[in-house]
Amino acid sequence: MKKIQGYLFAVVCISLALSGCSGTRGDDSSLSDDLSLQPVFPFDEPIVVGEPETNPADAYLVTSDEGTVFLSWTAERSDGQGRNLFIAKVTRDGQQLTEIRQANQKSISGHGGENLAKFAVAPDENVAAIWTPFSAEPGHPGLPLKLTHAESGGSFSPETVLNDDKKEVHRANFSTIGTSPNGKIFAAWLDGRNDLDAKQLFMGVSEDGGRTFTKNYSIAPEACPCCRPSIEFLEGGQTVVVAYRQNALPSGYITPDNVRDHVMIRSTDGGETFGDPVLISDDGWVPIGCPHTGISIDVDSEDRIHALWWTGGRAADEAGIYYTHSEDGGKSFLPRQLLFKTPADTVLHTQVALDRNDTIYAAWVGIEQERPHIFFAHRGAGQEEWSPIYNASDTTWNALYPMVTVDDQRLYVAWTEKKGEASQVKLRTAPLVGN
Amino acid sequence: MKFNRSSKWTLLMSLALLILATSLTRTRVKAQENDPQTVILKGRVIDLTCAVKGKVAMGAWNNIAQDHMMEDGNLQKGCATLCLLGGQPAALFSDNKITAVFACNPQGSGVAPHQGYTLAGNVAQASEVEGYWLDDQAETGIFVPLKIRRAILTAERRYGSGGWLELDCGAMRE
Repeated sequence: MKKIQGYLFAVVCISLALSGCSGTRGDDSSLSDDLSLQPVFPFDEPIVVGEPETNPADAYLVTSDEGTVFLSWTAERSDGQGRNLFIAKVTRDGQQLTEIRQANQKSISGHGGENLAKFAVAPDENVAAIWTPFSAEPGHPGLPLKLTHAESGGSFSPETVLNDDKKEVHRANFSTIGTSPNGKIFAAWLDGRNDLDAKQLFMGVSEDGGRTFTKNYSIAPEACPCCRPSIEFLEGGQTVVVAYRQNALPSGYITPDNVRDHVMIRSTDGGETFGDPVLISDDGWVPIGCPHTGISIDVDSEDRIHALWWTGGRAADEAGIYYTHSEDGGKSFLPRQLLFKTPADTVLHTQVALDRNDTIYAAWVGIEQERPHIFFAHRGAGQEEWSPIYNASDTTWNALYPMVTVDDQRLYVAWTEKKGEASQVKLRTAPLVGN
Repeated sequence: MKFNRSSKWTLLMSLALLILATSLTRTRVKAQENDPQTVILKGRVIDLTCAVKGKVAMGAWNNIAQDHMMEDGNLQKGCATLCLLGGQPAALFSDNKITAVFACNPQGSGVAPHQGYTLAGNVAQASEVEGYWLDDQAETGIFVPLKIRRAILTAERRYGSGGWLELDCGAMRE
């Protein structure tokens, strides 16, 4: 008690000394008011992915250029030291997983979420996967970004380090990886090699299906340090666009000008150089903590870029899931459209995908009845009206981190569910709208 | 930082009043600690000393974020964390005023899994702090924090663990 009194004395002195010192946006066309929750979409029954006792998590979906859908997830290792990454083909209209392969040899991080392991599928079904490795050290130690690849259904190579800074302390994470129509694999990630407290956006490119990557290069001088970027390709891969959340300051730097809105940079020379960032939406969000939520983008057959994201907005009543698109390849974006209002104090995640008919499929985490669910809506090409909002998760668990992809026939939605310490991954499919 | 005469006098008088108030309420404090009524406060965790110095010197709450304005007009990057790790007291700031002064060693004991379990690890962050007032009517403004969580959380945290972390106050709560 004496220790407390001594400390309190100093604290209270200052406290008393202080006693005398104390002293919509118009472009939102709110759809959520018009949309009623109608959990009637022709989804198949979900399949539960992986071995339940290993608490699967971190679902990620990719459709290859050949139209094969791949799903990845992580599972706890039997030694309790981190997780393993599995990648499988989704077959039989989403009812079966085949050719399940373990991508890692050494343990990967169990944090997942916004920084989950990702992969890209190059021609001939060459797969490249990247992830943050496991560390037994407490906190957030400096870690590299690990890389592995597999050729045409074969086993994965021993992992290497993607970030080439050769430093003892790395801060490379929150990645995106995608395959250009010309077959190159592009990886972009947040990298603190030049300043551990102020990350830049770095890129590496593989022309051999993920076996090797080019020397890393910076494509944006500052980016929000814990939000995933998102990459897409236009004009057959000649134009590369990367969306990310602006501002590199750590989250403790809360000043009115520390806005964390999403921006896009574009390269018209196949990813060699990038122009200045373009604001995707003037949300004006100044976070009151570490956001941990990036933006999701996809490109339609006319090279329009579609974007879906969550923002806290300038005021609490602006918080929600928003959509916009660009008609000019990312040089500018139309005013945002509110899809779903959400609490301002809870960070939520989104995913958007388009089918061959340019129908937009939007999935996001929404809060209903004090629990997160996976909500879903679609919109036809050239239309302004969205479908009713459906509840895709339909579960008593907390449903998180949605992923969406399509093939020629079907829509695939996967997510992670959590209840207490337990987790599971679910995947469900439905015919494409209009099929 | 320079104080004028009236400021010094005010500080000294406040100090005297505080000592008196502390001794008078000691018995009640003890009773409150034995059976505390916990409450949750919202605000930004700040470095009390620098915030107050800045307010006195500049008449504005310029030093409630990570970077602090020095007397010479230069900005000291990361000052808040450095100062709390150096042992300066922490407080809670909300509605343009200091709403609580934490009875908690911001450095912690060093045994917590990471800095997020200490006040120093949460400085400049908008947070929710669960704990109890040292006196039952919150007269002194001294708050004993027990748990902390960020004001903004991912859905996974908010609806999973709740995001609460048991604060490591070093020897303050032994």
